[in-house]
Amino acid sequence: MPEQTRIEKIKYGLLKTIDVSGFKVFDPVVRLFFGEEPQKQVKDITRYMLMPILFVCCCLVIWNFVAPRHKTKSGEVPTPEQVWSALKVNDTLHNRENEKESDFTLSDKERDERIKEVEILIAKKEEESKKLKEDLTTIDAEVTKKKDESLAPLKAKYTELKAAHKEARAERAAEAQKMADAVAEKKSGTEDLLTLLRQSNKTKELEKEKEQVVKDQIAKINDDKPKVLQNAKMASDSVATEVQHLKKRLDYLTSGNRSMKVGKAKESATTALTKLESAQSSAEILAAAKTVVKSEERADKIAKQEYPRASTIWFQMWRSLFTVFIGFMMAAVVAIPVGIMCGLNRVAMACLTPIISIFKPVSPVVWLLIFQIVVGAFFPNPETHPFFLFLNSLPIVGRLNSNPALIFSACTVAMCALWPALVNTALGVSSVENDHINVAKVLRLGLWSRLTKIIIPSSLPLVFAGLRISLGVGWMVLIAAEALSSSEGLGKYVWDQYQNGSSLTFANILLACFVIGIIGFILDRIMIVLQRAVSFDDGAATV
Amino acid sequence: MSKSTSNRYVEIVNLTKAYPNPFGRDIEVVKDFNMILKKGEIVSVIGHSGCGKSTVLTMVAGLNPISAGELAVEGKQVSGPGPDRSVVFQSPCLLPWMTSLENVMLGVKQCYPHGSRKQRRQICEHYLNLVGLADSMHKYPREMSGGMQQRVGIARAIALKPQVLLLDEPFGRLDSLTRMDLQDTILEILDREKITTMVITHDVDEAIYMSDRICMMTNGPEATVGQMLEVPFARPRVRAEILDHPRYYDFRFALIAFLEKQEHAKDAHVKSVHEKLRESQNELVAAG
Amino acid sequence: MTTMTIKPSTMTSESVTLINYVEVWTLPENDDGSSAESLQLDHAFVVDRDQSRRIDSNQKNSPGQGIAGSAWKQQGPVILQGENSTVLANVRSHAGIPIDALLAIPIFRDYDLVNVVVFGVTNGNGGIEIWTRDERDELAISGSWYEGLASFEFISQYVRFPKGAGVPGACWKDGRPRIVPRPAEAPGFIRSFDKDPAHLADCIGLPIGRDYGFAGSIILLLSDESKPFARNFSLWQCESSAPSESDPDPTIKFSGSSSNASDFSPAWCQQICDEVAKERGTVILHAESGNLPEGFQFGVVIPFFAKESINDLAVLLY
Repeated sequence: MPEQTRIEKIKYGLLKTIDVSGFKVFDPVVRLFFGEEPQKQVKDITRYMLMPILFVCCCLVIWNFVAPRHKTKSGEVPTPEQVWSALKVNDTLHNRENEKESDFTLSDKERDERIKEVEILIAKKEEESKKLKEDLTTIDAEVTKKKDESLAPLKAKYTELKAAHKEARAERAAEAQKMADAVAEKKSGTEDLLTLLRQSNKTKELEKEKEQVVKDQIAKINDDKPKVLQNAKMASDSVATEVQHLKKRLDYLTSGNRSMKVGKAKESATTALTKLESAQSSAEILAAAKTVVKSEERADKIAKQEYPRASTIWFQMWRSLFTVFIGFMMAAVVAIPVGIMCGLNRVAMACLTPIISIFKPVSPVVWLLIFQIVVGAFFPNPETHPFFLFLNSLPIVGRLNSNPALIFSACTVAMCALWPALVNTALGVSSVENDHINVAKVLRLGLWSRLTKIIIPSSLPLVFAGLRISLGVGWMVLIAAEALSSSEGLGKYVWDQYQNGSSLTFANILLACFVIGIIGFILDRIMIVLQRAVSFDDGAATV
Repeated sequence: MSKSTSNRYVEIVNLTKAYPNPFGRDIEVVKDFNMILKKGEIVSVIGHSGCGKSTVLTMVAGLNPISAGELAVEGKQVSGPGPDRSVVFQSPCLLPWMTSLENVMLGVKQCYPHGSRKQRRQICEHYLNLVGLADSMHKYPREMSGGMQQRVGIARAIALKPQVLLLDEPFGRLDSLTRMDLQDTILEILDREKITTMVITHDVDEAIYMSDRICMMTNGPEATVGQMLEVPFARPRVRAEILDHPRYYDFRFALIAFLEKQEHAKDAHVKSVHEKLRESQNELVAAG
Repeated sequence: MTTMTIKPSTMTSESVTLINYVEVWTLPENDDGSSAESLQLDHAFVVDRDQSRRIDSNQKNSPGQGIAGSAWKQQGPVILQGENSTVLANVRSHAGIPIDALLAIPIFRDYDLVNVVVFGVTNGNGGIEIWTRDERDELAISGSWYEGLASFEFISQYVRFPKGAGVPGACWKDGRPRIVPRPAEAPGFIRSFDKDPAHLADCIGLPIGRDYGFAGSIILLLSDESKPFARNFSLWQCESSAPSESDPDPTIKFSGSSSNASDFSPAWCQQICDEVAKERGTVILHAESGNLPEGFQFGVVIPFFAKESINDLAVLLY
């Protein structure tokens, strides 16, 4: 076999990476790039890449078409565009929180500089806002004018119509009266009168319908908000909120700033101290001393204060990921050893079978409630519990505000994710190839080397297949658990959105739906890569 | 070592394998299998597929519990598997997550617990060299051909310094060229190391070429030794010389005739069973 | 009371037999019950195409003397053949017929030698093999005579039988003689190859040993269709239980009937049994003494003992 050239090495390396990571779809792209059988690759690309993309686009178009036509109680179903803008809004919110947080913690010179920056920005934005507002007013005026112009003839028509109908009604009333008189004088039959009245009622209905048509036209014009106006309004609003945000920042930089607050508290402590020094009577001294201590304590407390972040979608996402990670790890730590034990020992398997069979089908909701009660008992005072203090003092994890809710959500995840991993591990261990077992027997391997050299390596692919299912289950369970228990996370985000009902609610829920889906997909891919990395044969299952 | 233990190095006495039959008497697959091997001897066991050859080997290896009978190596009774009787299976049975070196090392570690890491490595390399795999020490099984994998299997078995080497149709899955190549490799090693060896095979030529004695097994159930045949060709052997030997075809014919006879016996047995069935049916008809 | 049944496995032929000369030597018991020091030739027969005849002789053989003596000395069967053997030459001249080889079969009762039966074989297709246990507890050929079985002869020297395998192994295993008719087709006869054994008509295995169950050697006789061992050869199987302590020497009584029509009257069979039981050794039948069925000149009845009791009878009629 001739040596591989460098380019070939790169090519096959890339292909292998793609294969291992489960993105076999891109295989023809790489091959095309290296000029291997272009026709075939193009065909493959069209078939397996362009077609799916086209299909997804089709779905988007259908969505875009159907959504605005379905009115719900909480507004129209959002179009893809709206969901996209919801994403942008959420992202801005997140960034602003970041800005405010950094403002809150700044001190001294940096703070001064930041104040200057923000003030300049405010000035700029206010001017912009003013201009936009003016624009809005002019556009509004124009639109109103236009509207009035188009409304005027309709309104005239409506008044005309109404007047005409009123007249007609009076005429019909008179005619009916006449007929009634005639009946009374026996000049004509009652039948004629009744016919007349029926006729008159029908005509009335028709007249009303005609009026309604015109009325609808007027209403439609009234309701119509031209794009120009909408855009102007949105622009103006966004700048206005920006200004508002900047002012809030300024607030966090000045009076609301942590260092300022600390300074203030310290100052009052100092005054109290001078007071204490100058105090004469014992009562005065005691009161002053108390004030000193109190002020000092307050200063300490403020110094430790964190910025009270509002929870944005990204924060919730990280928190959910952390929770699922903890839960998944708990499941793995229990499931793998127990699974190995079950696979090795039939008695252990027999012992655990009833437990597995009974607890496997239990709904995650039940587990959630059970764990909520059980875990709660462990942390009677979560704020001062060393476990959470430790967790929250960690560099990145600390920002996620771990609390008992996180723990019991994780426990629920673990409880539901446990079973597939356990069952698969047991299966993997018990189905080690007989040949390999024979090798171990002939070599008289001890239990430990039998485990590490033969049983575990050969069952790893199945173990990871189980873990992959576990992670998928865990992620799904977690979102439901968070929605139900109001534990911070994407589930809670969705639930909150559903509850508070702003104009963006629906779009936000759909956005969360996509975020959850994409994360689930990424987690699954990671597990596939891991699974294939530990698979000794190349034939590990994809999809 | 006394002469008697080296003349009766491996003793297989009345080896029997019976599988329980829930609806009748136990089914005796192998019954009263007797064989005695001298030290350093190569014995082939030949017979029709399914006659119980492999059952005998797995029982000797200790991988299959013995229903009755005894097995002694060097005068000591043995039971259960152990590295003193290493096995090369029909499939190479390599651990796919280990390189060939690691595969061999697995056994070496077990058999040289006191050797240093370097010594063990040298042993592994030595045996991989012997089977001609000096270049493929760090390859994984999936990167090697079936023949190369089987070579690793052989190296692993021989590196254990076994008292008895058991080969279970080791070339069964290889093409004929690779097979011949591997036969020569094994013979070369066995001639040098003088390991007492038992080879299961269904290839007549392989049996004659490789072994000092050939054990012909009757067809099961209750399979046992039909007869033994001494192969008088001197070692080391050269394939071409053996094939040209004027008496080679006498041996070959003797083996084939035996196998054919077994086949006929089986047919006759089947026939008689059918006849009995027919008779009993006729009786039933007559009675009815 | 021990019963004995005849298991018919009989073949008859009018033509000349493979065995053409029979000697029966007896080791007489002294008055005090101990064995004598020399074998005494009881009878010698020559089987001829037309007329079988008896040779009168009064020879004695000590251990190592003559073929019977060497069988006694070796405590096992012996084959003599070739032009150089003076013993063979003597027998030839004495009998006045051509003899190819001599086979001496010692007959043991428990541990004691009772008789030595010597067969002379003539020029005809067939073979005699003596299978002896070797160091691996397998049977290997230790002596043989073949005629017209070249390939068979060649390969047989490399063949070994463990206990239970092949005809010799089977004889060893159950300690009884057996007949395998048409060995080329019999599943039990596994040493068939080439065209050689195709025309073999009979194969007889005789376990020869001092102790029941232990076979020192197995004699295998192979005969051609054209030349059977004897004009009538049959194995009679005694299906008795072991003799009881109180009656260690029971009279054998024939109680079975021969289903194989051809042959003998039950009365005659019973007579033979009684005679063997009385003799507790090989019995010679002679036309003159009137104890033979019509058409036969003489016969030999060789008993095979299990410990002290007779288990089987080999009946050869000429």
